[in-house]
Amino acid sequence: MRLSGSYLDGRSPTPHPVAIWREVHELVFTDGMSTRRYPLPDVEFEAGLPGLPDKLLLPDGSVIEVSDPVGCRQLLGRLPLADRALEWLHSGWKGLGLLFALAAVTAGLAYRYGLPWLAETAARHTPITVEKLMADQTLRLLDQTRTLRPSHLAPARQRALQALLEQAAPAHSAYRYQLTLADAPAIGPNAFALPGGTVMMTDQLVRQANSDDELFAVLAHEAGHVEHRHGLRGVIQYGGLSLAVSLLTGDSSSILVLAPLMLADMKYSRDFEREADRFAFQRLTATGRSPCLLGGFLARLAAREEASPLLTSHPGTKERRHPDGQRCPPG
Amino acid sequence: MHTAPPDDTQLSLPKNTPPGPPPAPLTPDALRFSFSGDTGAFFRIWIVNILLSILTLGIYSAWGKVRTLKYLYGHTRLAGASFDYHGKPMAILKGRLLIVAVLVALALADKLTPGLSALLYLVLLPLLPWVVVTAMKFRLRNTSWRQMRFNFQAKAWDAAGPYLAGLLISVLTLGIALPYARHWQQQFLVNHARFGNAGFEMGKCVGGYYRVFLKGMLCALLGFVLIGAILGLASTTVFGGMPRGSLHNMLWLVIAGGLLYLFFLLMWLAIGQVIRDGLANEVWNHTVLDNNGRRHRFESTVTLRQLFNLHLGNAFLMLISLGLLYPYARLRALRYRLEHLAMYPTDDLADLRAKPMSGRTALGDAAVDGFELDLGL
Repeated sequence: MRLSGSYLDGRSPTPHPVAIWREVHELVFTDGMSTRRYPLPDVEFEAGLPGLPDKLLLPDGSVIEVSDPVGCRQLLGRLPLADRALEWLHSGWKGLGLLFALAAVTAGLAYRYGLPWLAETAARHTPITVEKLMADQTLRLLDQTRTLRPSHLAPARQRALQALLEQAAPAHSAYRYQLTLADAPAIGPNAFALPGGTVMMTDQLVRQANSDDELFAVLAHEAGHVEHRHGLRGVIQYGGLSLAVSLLTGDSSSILVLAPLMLADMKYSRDFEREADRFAFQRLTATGRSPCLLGGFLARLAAREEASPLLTSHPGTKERRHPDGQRCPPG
Repeated sequence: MHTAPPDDTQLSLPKNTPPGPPPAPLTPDALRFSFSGDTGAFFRIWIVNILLSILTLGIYSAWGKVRTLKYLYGHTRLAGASFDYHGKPMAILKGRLLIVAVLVALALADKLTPGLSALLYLVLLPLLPWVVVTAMKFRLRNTSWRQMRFNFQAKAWDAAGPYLAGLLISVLTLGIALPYARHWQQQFLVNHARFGNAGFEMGKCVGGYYRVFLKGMLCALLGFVLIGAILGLASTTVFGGMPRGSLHNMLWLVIAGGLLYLFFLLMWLAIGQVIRDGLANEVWNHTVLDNNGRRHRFESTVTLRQLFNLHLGNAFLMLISLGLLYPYARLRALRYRLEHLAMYPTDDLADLRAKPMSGRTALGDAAVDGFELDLGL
């Protein structure tokens, strides 16, 4: 069987029409004047993409283009498995459907288990000093924006609350807990944990509490964030998400993918809150307090107008009021 | 015994064309660029690329890039003959891993201490010329027309002027010198590009660069004023009577905000592309391929107005299809640009000669710098 092809030597732009055939283990071609032969293993076959010719790449860099795809494959035998698989994916809809299902499952698993697992493992192997550095960075930023003013609480009260935080944290913790109180009318009643053991609480939150036990519940929740390294894990997970999205979308601008990115990250942040809640429930029970304290206090805060909008990335207060399936008194 | 080649072309032109003024557009001497690709087939390549990239956690994306570029280059035709892309997936994968590693390091340093990240930037910035030259070498050496490879001949040091000094003056002049710097960089890129024994040359067109930038900005500004006026008028006339804080009022605010955001996205997507293609238009019209004194010139006839319509339409289609129409939009833009591009050779292109640098075994050796690493995203 003879095929016609077009020989391009890579040195000049003029194509030479050639006839190609196979002699046992050699590829032979002639332009009518001279005949050349190459051992088949030296010839690389490149399957043509839709609408493009197949190519035979010769060892010296020259190329023979063959427009007859069937003939070229008969000449050389079967395509490599990877090439055949790719052609199958590009030809029918069945392969594409299967691929779509597999990709969806992979993406779902990576999002739900892969990335959180990766972040958790990485965080566990990160020294605490790194978390402290992160916290210092955030504190500096808060200082610059001047959202926090010195607390108006009496020094004795502040010391009592620091003791309460140390009580809320586990007995043999690797972290040194430090409570920072601040007056922040712009933020309202709120508390948040920084990586490395610093917990910030606003005067506004302290004033809203009916009892120190309620503050204990909030502090235990924040200690949960610290113990589970949520600050560091959050950074890693958000970075992983944005990396995956930018790899997929390639050249599209980052502003387009910001919204779905935030949405995807929201689930991670709710998971962290649940984990911190479970930690708080444990600490409350272990110290002989009611696990209902956390949900009750947060529900009361949410009912007030001045409740922080930061609470929106948290689980619904309804869910928090039933710690471990327990029933809590209403109100 | 053998049949004619499939693409018997009008490559050989009558020799010794009389000297004189450059030919008017659409003379028979013009070699036109064209695109023969098919949207359906390209959509397949694109979607399989994305899905396999997800399935392999990003590894396949390097192979996908090769398939995409092979398809696009292969269907780009000049004088009936096609271009080809020869990049090796492993080289692309290595380059991408390196870029990801650097990005991760920068992000981590940024989270930890500002001092460390500033230090990293200081270390990385001088590497920019090397990155540019490496990326260009990879791109051009792996691009061919009729299997003749292009080449990029420059040392990393040569890129220091346009890229480091250019960056510096753009920052120092608060962006006023940005078009000038871009022109400087582009001239560097074109003037070191070669095709066989012929070299590309780009003349000065700083004025054209400024015109394109100004028109693009003006267009964006007018668009914002227009949409602002429309929304403002609508909110006062239609919803002005509503009591403040009512449900309808809130709804209107949300809708208006959404519209503004969408419009901003559309403009953001379109204007950038219009400026990019408008600049490319200037570059082509000031570029010649010099083959031992015979200067083949190019002519690109895209207009900013048509580019604007094209890219605004594309951005709109992408938005309403959530990106699914990306292959259609990309081919539409490519086809438009190629069909408005032509080459005017002074005589026979068959005289072009390339050095046999493209041997497959030479690639395998990885001895030639620039082949091993693809740093162009």
